Amino acid sequence: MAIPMRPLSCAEAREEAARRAFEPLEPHVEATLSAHLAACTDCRNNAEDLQHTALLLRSSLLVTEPPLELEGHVFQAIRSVGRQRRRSRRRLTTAFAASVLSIAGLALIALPGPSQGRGRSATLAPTDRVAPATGSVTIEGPGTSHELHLNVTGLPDLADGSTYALWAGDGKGSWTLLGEFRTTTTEALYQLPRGAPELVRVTIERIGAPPDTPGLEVLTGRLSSG
Amino acid sequence: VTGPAGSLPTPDEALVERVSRGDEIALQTLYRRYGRPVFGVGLRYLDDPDLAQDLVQDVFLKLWRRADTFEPAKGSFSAWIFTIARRSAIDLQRRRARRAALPLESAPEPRVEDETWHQLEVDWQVVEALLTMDSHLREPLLLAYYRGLTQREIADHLGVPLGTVKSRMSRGLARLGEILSRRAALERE
Repeated sequence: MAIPMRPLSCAEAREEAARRAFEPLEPHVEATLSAHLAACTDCRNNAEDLQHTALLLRSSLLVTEPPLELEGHVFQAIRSVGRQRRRSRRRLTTAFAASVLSIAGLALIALPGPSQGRGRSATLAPTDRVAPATGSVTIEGPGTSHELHLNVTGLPDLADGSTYALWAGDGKGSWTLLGEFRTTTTEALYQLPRGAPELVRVTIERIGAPPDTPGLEVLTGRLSSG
Repeated sequence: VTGPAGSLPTPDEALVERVSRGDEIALQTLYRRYGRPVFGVGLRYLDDPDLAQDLVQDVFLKLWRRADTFEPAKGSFSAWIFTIARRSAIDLQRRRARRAALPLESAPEPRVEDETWHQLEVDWQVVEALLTMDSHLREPLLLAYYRGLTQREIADHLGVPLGTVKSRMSRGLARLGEILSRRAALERE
């Protein structure tokens, strides 16, 4: 980083004060910041507020991550309750089919959809390039929404100059770009074009690459009706 | 939980409505928002990681079964799930005490109990405040404070310049402080 040996502006002082709230500053930056805070009441008050807020963050309920396997246990219990509660033959059949597909190690797994026959959904299964990544998409029932809800987690960090892209496919080889994102975990709504997509995929694209350059597919799924 | 620029995360209230119709994916989204803070409540109150996991399971099972009883007019979803967590945690504590047949004098003093829950409520507000912030301000804070990344690492992770991370963290902390101060002022009124 650039070393600010000159006096700091108020904006710079606030940024460095925010950084100091969670990591030690380099000695010369600390000295420059202290000199600024000694002379500027507003920035000093701001720095104290930031320090206080940082303390709240450090002691918050989010500090400890639950074990990763907990989510699986919770949803296993919920599915068990769901089966007891709903007793839907179709749902059970689909769940059984999904588990068989899962055991077979196939890449595409259709999850049971919402229990009342609305909308469509898919689990996004990783290609062999990004094994830990998972995701899902849902589309509300026809006529009620033109939005696709994406939920993805565990994607690998992107190299500079790359982006993730979300695509909807018609199942006949035609793909429409719905949007792009750069975070490794994301939850978002995307507007759908006309027509019901059959497939959804997430790819890594090089920013500025020619439009016909194929991206690297990392997640894929087939939509199924609930 | 974040989304790309221009996208909107689904509001809690819309998700819980979908959960009430049996939508497991909506429940999964709520789990990813609230599973961790509920686990945090369990750790603080029950002081036992295994019981804290039981608490998370109890809370999300109740949410799955009773989503249709949530009434947005009576308060936020966040406040509702906190109430469920509180009741479930107290139940788990009682069950543990019964199992261990604790002598009466070792049961928690009611006043201490109230103070604990008051503090947990304050801590829960930090979570709520974070969830109401724009993701571009929230995400650098989460990466810094809960994943231990440096600002340089956050810049690489998000694919933005270091200066942008500095600015967002500074604005994010200030914004979080503002939200919390405003809530505290409202409570005092």
